[in-house]
Amino acid sequence: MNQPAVFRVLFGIGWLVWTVLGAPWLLLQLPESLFFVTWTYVEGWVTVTWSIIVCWLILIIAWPVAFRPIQVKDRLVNMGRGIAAGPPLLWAGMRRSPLFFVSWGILLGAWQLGSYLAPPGALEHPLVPGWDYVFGDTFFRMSGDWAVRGFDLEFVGLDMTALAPLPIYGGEATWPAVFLAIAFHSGVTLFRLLCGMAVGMSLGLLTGLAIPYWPWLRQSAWAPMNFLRMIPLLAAIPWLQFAVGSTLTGITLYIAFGVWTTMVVATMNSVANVPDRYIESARTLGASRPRTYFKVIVPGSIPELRTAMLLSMGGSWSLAIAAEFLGFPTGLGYMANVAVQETNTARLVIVGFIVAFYSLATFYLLNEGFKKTVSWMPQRTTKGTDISKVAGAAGAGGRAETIEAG
Amino acid sequence: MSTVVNFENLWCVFEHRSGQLVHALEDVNFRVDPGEFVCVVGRSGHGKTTLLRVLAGLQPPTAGAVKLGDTAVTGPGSDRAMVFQQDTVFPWLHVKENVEFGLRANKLPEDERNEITNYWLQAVGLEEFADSWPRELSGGMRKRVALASAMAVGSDVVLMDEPFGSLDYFTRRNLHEVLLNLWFETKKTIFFVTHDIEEALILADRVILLAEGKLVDDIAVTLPRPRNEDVRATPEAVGIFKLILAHLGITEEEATQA
Repeated sequence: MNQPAVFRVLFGIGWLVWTVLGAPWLLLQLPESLFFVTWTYVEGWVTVTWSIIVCWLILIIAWPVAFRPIQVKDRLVNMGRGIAAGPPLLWAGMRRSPLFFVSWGILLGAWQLGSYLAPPGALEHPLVPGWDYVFGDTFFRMSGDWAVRGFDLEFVGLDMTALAPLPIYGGEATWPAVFLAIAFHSGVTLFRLLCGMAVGMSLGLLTGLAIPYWPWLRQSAWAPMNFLRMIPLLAAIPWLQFAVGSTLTGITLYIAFGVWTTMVVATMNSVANVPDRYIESARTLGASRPRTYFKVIVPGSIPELRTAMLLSMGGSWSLAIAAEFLGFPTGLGYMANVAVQETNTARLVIVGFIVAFYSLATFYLLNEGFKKTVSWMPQRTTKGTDISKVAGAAGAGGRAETIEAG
Repeated sequence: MSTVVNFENLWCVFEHRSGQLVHALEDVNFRVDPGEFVCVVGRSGHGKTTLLRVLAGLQPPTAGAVKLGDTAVTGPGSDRAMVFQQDTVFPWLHVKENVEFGLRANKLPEDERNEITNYWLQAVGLEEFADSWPRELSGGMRKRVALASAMAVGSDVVLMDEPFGSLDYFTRRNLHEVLLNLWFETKKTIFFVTHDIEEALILADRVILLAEGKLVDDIAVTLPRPRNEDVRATPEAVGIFKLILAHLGITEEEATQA
C-alpha cells in the first residue's frame, strides 16, 4: 500500500526526532526501581549500560511498529523469506559458479598451509598467521583498542566505562571490548567517509554540471581545475595536516577533494555523452536552454554517473583509510597503523576483512539507492555478465544460456 | 492553420575533413501551403534530412532562407515540432509527462495542459499507458508517444524525419493510419521525410524529390484516399511510382530487389 509522500516524510522526521531526543528522554525519566534500569543520570552525565542500549533500540523499533505496522510486517515477512531462501540460493550459486567457491577455498587453505610452512622468525607475531591465530588470540587482543571513557556532547555526557573494562587503563581484555572497539573505530571511519563523500560528491556534481553550462566558467575553470586534479592525493595528506590539522574538517576536505576530482570529470563526461537527439527533440518542442539543460541533459546524464559514483566511493574508502593511517589516532586506518607498527599481520588481516565488509556494504547500498533513483532505466533481466553473453553469442557451448536460465 | 512555408534559394554546404565541400542542398526553392502533407523523397545522403533540419532550425543554411509566413527560421521552436528517426521519447519521464513536455516548456496552465495531454494520449490510443515508463512500451508505442508530444505543442507545422523507418511493416501501416487520422482532424502542415516511395504514395499530397541536394521534381499526388493496395495498383499510382524511380535513377529491377 503506497502512502502519500507527505506522510512518509513526516514519519521519517518523526522517527529521527524520536530516536535522538524522544526515546532517550523517556528512558531518563524511568524510575530506578524498575529492574532493567541499570543506568544513572547524574549532573548531566548518563552512565551508558547495555540495558539502556537495548531499551533504546526497542524504542527506536517501536516507532515504525506503531505508525507503519503493515510495512513492518511486510518487511519482516520479506526478511524471513530472504533468510529462508539463503541456503538454496547459496547452493544454486555453488552449482552455477563452482570455481568462485573453489578459488576462495584454495586461497584460504593455501594461507593456512603457508602459516605452517613459513619460518616463525624473530618477531612477536607470525608473519603468516593461521586462521586460528587471526580469529583467536589476535581478535581477542583487539579489545585493547577500546579506549573510550565517554563522550561530552555539550548538552549531555555519555559515560561509557560501564560497558566494558578499558585495557588501556588497566582493565582486563573482554569480548565486549573487542566488539565495542571495532564498532567505535568503524563508526568514526564511516562518519568521516560519509562527510567527505557528501561534500565531494555534491561539489563534484555541481562543478561538473556548472562548467558545461556556462562557457565563461569552462574557459576560466579549466586550467586551475586540471592543475588541482594533477596533485597526487597521498601528497596532499601532509599539506592538509599542516593547514587544517588532524581534524574532522581536515579528513573531510581530503576525502572530498579526492571524490571531487573523479566526480567533476565524470559528470562533465556524462553531460557531454547525453545523446543529441534528446536535446534536439526538446528544443523543437519549445524548451529553452535552461529547461533543456535541467530537464533533459541533467536527467539524461544520470545513468552514466552511476559508475563514477561507485568508483568515487571505492576511492573514498582508500582515502579515508590512508588518511587515518598516516595521521589519526582513531578509525580503521589507525587500527591498521597499529598492526603495522606491531608487525602484526593477523591484525592487519582482520582490519582488511572489516574494511572489505564495509566497502561491499556501502557499494551495495549506493547501488540499490541508485537503482531506486533511476527506476526509469531498463532493468537487467538476466544474471549473466556481459562477457558471458558475448561468449554465448560467439558459440561458447551455450554458456550464456546456462547462466541466464539459472 | 495559416502558415505558408517558403524555401528560398536554400543552400547548405558542409566542409569535409579532407577540405572538400559537400553540397547537401543546392538552390532549393519551393512553397508549401497550409495543411499540405508533403513527403520529401530521395536516396540516402541526398539532402532530405538536412532540408528538414534547416526547417527545424537545427541547422543554419549556408545561403538562402526558410520562411514561415514572413519570418525567417533562425532556430528551433515549438511552431515546428519534430518527430525524429531515432527514439527521442525521454526515458526518465512517464508517457504522460513526455506528451506534456512541450506544453510545460511553453508554460501552459496546468488545467489546459492536462486537457491537451489527455486528448492527444487518447488520439494515439495510449490513454491506458499514461503512467507507464517508456521502457515498458513497444517501439511502435514509443513512436506514438513522440507523435503525440509533437502534435500536442500545437504547432502549425510538424516535421517527421523517417519516423517509422525502424518499425516492422504492420506497425508502420498502423502508424500511417494513426498519422493520417490526426492530419485529417488537425490539418497541420506535415513534412515527412522518407526513402520509401510506397510510404510517400500512401501519405502525401505532394512529393518533393531530392537528388544530390537538388530539387528534381515536385509531384502532386492526387490519388483518392484511403490509399489501399487497390488504389496503389492503379495506373496513375504506378505511373507516379515509376516517375520517382526514374528521377532517383533506380531501375525497376533494383526497386524490386530492394
